[in-house]
Amino acid sequence: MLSLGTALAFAGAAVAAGFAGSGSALGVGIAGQAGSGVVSEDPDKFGNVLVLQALPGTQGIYGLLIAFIIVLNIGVIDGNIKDLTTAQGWALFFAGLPIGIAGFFSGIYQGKVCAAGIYLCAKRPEETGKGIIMAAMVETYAVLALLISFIMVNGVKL
Amino acid sequence: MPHPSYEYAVGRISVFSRRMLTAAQLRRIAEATDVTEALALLLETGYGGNLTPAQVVHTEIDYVIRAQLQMSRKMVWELTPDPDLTSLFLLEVDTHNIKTFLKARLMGIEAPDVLIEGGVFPLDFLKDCVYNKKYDKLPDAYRIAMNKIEIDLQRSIDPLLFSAQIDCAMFKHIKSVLDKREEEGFVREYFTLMADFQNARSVIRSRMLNWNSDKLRPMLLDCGEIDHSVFIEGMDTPLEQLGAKLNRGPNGKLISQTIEEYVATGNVPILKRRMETALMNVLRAVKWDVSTLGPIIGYLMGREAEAKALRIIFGAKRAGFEIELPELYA
Repeated sequence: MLSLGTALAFAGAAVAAGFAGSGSALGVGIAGQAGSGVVSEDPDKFGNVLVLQALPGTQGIYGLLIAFIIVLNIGVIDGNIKDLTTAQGWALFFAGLPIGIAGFFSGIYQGKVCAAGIYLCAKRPEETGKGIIMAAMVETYAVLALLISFIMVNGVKL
Repeated sequence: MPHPSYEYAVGRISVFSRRMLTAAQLRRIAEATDVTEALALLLETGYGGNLTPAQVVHTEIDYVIRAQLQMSRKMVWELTPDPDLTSLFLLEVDTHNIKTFLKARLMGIEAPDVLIEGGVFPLDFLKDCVYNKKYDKLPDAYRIAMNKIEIDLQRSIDPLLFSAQIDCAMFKHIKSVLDKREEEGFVREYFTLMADFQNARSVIRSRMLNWNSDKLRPMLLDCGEIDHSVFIEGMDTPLEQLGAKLNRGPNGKLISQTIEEYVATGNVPILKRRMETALMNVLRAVKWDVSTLGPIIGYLMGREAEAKALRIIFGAKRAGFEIELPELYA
């Protein structure tokens, strides 16, 4: 039987991977719809559109990374799941929140910026780089959240 | 069939809008030495779609413009995520077609060249309605107006009046859709501005023709912010004070300034021109609002403005006079 602490750690991993992944899925979906519209009329733009569509996918990777570190630390990978105290469990749960929440919202908003970048690419292909830079600005906050989640996870002594 | 998403629709529109005529292209066409050269320059831009030179040689510029407009309307209709609101911008086409069918029926002729494809209702459907005098399948506002027109036609034929009644029906229908949808965005702003401006123009026109208030009343359109009674009172207001009189509601200031400009210059076309600019500005404001119909409607109305500009340019070229280049959306 798992302790409450271990269950909370699982919840932290689930929040990190689940929310950040959902944000990415929504963001990539938004950009993908915009991209399909452009490529249906101008297939030559596929390369540029693909880069912009892929950008909101990174939040999901960040979430997965934090979730992976959490489950690795509590011994899920090697089959020896540790019995964590409730305090340790809460600490790991809160460690998963920054990337979960920031990943969710930044994924959606980055998707919208990427969609706008795709429209920019359709109208002025030579300005695609600027569209990518603007989309990357949103990424900053997902990276900051990843950083703090990473520090928090590593700060929990098991 | 599910409607496409805004993202997909705006993506396609972004590509299409690159094919719209720019001010520079329009200027080059206007500066061509003759109509043939102007037409060649126009076709070089890809305007009119896949028309072959053989098709164009034997045809009028209007054929090319209509082909392009029909393509644009059809495309917008296919990809709009909100057909209800989009249809309001295509109603002008249906209104024109209903008037044409009615006039053709009364005159006992066919008028296929005047009809326009690309409205909300198929031409065959409208023809069937008008020729069989069965308007049950039309929206309520049109049905009521057309049934009234049929009764009036048994007494006398007044083309101006029935044309005004059909226009009024269009705006009544637009208002009912906007109210039902509780739409408060740019679509309402657009039609409200149009109705107020058209009503102000009707007052000016009525005064120039020495009409009385009774003759003006059926010409006034619903959907505006300024009450009809203000326009009626405007008939007896000194012209110098008419601008101030109509300065009510969100569109009042613009209308007032336009009327004062008209009073100062005596330039009648300025009323229409200022209205078109104001309407275009409403659409330009939502050009990048990609989660709304803004870019889609902007493209559609931009194509309409482009067509108007081309008709003016080619008309002036044929008649041999200089014109001021009309405003474009792009």
